[in-house]
Amino acid sequence: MGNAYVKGKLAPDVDEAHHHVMPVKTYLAVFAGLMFLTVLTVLVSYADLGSAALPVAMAVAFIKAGFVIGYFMHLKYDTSFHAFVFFGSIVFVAIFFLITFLDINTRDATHPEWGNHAWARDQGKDIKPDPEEIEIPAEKLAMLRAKVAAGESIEHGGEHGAENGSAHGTEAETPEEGGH
Amino acid sequence: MSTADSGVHGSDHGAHGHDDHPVHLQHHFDNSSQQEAAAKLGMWVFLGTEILMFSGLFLAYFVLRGMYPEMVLHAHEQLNKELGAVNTVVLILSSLTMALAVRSAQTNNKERTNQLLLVTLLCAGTFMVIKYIEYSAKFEHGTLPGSFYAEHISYNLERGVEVVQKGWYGGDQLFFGIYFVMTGLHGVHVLVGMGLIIWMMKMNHDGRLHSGYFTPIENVGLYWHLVDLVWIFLFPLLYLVK
Repeated sequence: MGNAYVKGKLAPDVDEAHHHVMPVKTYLAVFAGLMFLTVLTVLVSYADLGSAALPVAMAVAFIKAGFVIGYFMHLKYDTSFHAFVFFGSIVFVAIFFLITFLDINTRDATHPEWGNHAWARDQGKDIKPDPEEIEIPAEKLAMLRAKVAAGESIEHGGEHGAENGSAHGTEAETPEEGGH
Repeated sequence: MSTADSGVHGSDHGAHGHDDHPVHLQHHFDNSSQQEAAAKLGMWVFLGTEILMFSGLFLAYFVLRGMYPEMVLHAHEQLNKELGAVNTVVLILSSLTMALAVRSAQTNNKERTNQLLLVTLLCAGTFMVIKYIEYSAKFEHGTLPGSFYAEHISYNLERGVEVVQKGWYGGDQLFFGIYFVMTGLHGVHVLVGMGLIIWMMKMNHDGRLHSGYFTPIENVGLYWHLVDLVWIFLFPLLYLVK
């Protein structure tokens, strides 16, 4: 067994585990806090906060992240060097964001012809094309007609909240509305 | 100090006598503390690189949002807030059970560790199933990234045609591009995490995780919490943006 030295002094029992074990209660409390913040951020998203919505959502997300990092990832009780490594990467993310936004947000002012939309404008790609009509294959058409005859809805995936792709129900099929 | 033949002898887990050492101690480390410190530092450095990788996508999201605010607002309405919120709860719950699994490994509760890892795995599976439901709804509706974008608008059965909106630069296709790449990369991380959790269940079953040595499950836990962290930011930005 080799001798271990910690800060120049012989350290006994290096193979013994000396770990901080958090009580289960703490974990549950952190979980409850995270759930509360999740509900909060969803509710806040329904309120019309305008330009404050993004900062508020981000602030809540950072608080949640702090809980996860501090308690679940145990960083609060861990070697501070690990925190240094982890948060060090976030410092570089900040530099990355800062320099990119300095570029992006000043392009239009300095060189209008290099603007963010210039390429798309030149290529004529920034114009919304008219909806296209695509022929439905015979088999699928027969199936859809049968469904309509049976009084079933054939539209799926409405604007919002109809992700399961089946039986949306609220939007009745209206053949006349094509091409709006 | 015995060297090259580590793991062959020292059948007793806790043993660390004069010429003996624990089975988990690899020969290139002096002692368990040094081995653990090295493994944990390596894990934190890896997590740092993960953050750097995801930061590129987050930056792309913010640039896109700055360029086309109305488009992002319109396109995100097509995502299902409820399913996103359920997935957030599922993932945070799995983070809790993962943290508790690490704790029960620290306290030598092998059976409890197994149960908690299983719950974590089931949560991860639930997350992926919900993701699959969301993705298939998007695929069906034609809201795909880039040139694949062809949003279904309606059927005109009298003329036998489907009315479809093709994509354009600055249109919803850009939002779905960033949506699929961000959630896709995150989903790959969840799948990798599921594999790691199964591996930990095997190690735990074999009795290789205990109060004297639980670095593997601790590091898998760190990885799993990072996956949770990324989702904590993805959820409000993609599903709740206003």
